[in-house]
Amino acid sequence: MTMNLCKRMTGHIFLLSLFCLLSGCQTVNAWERGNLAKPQMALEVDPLTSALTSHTFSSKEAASGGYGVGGGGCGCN
Amino acid sequence: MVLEEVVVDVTSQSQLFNTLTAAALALLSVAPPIQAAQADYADVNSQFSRYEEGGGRMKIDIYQALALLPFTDRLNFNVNGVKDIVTGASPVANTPKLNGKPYQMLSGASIKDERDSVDGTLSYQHENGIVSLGGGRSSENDYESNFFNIDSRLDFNQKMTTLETGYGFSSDKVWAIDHCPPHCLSDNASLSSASSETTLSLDSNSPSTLSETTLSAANSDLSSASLGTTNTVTSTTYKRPDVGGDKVTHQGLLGVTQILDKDSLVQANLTYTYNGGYLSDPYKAVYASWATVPYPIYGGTFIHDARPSNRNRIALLTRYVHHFSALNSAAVHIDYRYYVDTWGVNAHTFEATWIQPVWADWKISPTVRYYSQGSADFYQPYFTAQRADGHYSSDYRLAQFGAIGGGVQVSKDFFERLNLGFGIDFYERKNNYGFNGGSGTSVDNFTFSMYTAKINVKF
Repeated sequence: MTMNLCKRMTGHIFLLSLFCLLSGCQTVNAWERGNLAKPQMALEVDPLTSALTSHTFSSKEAASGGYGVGGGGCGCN
Repeated sequence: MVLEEVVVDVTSQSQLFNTLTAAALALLSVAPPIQAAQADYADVNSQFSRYEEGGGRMKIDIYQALALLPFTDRLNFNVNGVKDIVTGASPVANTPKLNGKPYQMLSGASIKDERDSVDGTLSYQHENGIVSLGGGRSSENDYESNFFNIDSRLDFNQKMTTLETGYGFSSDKVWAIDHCPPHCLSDNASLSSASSETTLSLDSNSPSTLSETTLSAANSDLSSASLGTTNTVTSTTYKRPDVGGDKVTHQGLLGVTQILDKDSLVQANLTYTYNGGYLSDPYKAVYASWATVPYPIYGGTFIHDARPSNRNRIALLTRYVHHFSALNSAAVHIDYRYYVDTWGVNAHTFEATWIQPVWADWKISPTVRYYSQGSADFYQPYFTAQRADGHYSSDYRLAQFGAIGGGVQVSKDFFERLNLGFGIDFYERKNNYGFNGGSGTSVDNFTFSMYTAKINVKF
């Protein structure tokens, strides 16, 4: 019961996020995207550090996921 | 389409060309993981990190390397390698003291393991997005994982929006290498003949040198095997027959990245993960007051860590990135993730990073992180009553707790082709830092620190 409720809530949150994303956003022309192209604006600024911290936290905490698919498990203790 | 037109039309006007090239690259930045791979140069990253837990527990040296190789204008390949060298101790179980408070049992400072992982990803950029196919393998002396994934990113809405879908699969094997029980030690000590085919190292610090076949033989028929010994017999290891198994993982991703304005973008990802098979931890034990069969090695009133054979997990991640022109092009990254699974765990993660370019191509990037999770339904520090479902775990990672962390990364560019950096991170976990419900105990509190040095070269 609790799990189903959580799943519904998660779905609603995601749909709400999609709605917010796709509406009310001003058009940004190609020549206005210089700031967005800067390295510090990339979602993964440093792939190696991101991979390391993600692996570390998923080894020490129960939660994981959200950042992508791929990668295998480990026998981390 | 837009990208090609822009680049072709402005080649004769250098200033405008630079501006529009940056803009064109920005179009690609909607799909961040591929952004670096789309460069027209090879990019090699390498870093060394040391992870250290407080109280002299676990220490890990991590060596990483990542090469991004452009084959053609549209086809890129990246290869990634990781080596972990693990030493130290880890919690095994808890026992109740006379006052009812738990006492944590550690494995002893005898763990030594190595993990080698390599993976590769081939990416193809088409008119409206990118398709990637990847795969790899990770192996330890007690774990093996083979995996692959496919990922697609589609741009639309004048390339303001990117829709990402992905699927990943992993097939894993897990087992346990442990110290021999007393009968195993006494049998080993009495053996003197050596054989190159079946030599069993008695150095407990190098279990990774033992093959699975050798260990199985040593375990199943130790008295009759022709095993070699070192001069000084102190301890030995074997592959435990009572734990381990296979497991599979299926993972799906649905994500949207949206440019909000010329200085900000947002991403929302939903991942669903299914784990099936042997999901228990072969090294963990559980204190059970009713147990009568002595647990291997530790004896006494313990049973195996026993978890459900399947787990469904959902993670919703939202990320926001904003650029500040007035602050020397600083950027802030804010992440929030909600997690829930069918083991009863739910968790919240908040993370924020500020990236500040400063004088002479230096960058300083402080990060703060907060995490809170509730415990699994079948977690207790120790058990005094049986559960109807037969699931038990005292693994500290399934307890209720919270954690705060933070750190800073510093880097500098040289000659536009070389980047050197270092970083320091700290993490503190406490059972009273969390706000989710469930069971937890202060004996599971711990801290770790991580130090990193990195280099990036573009060819």
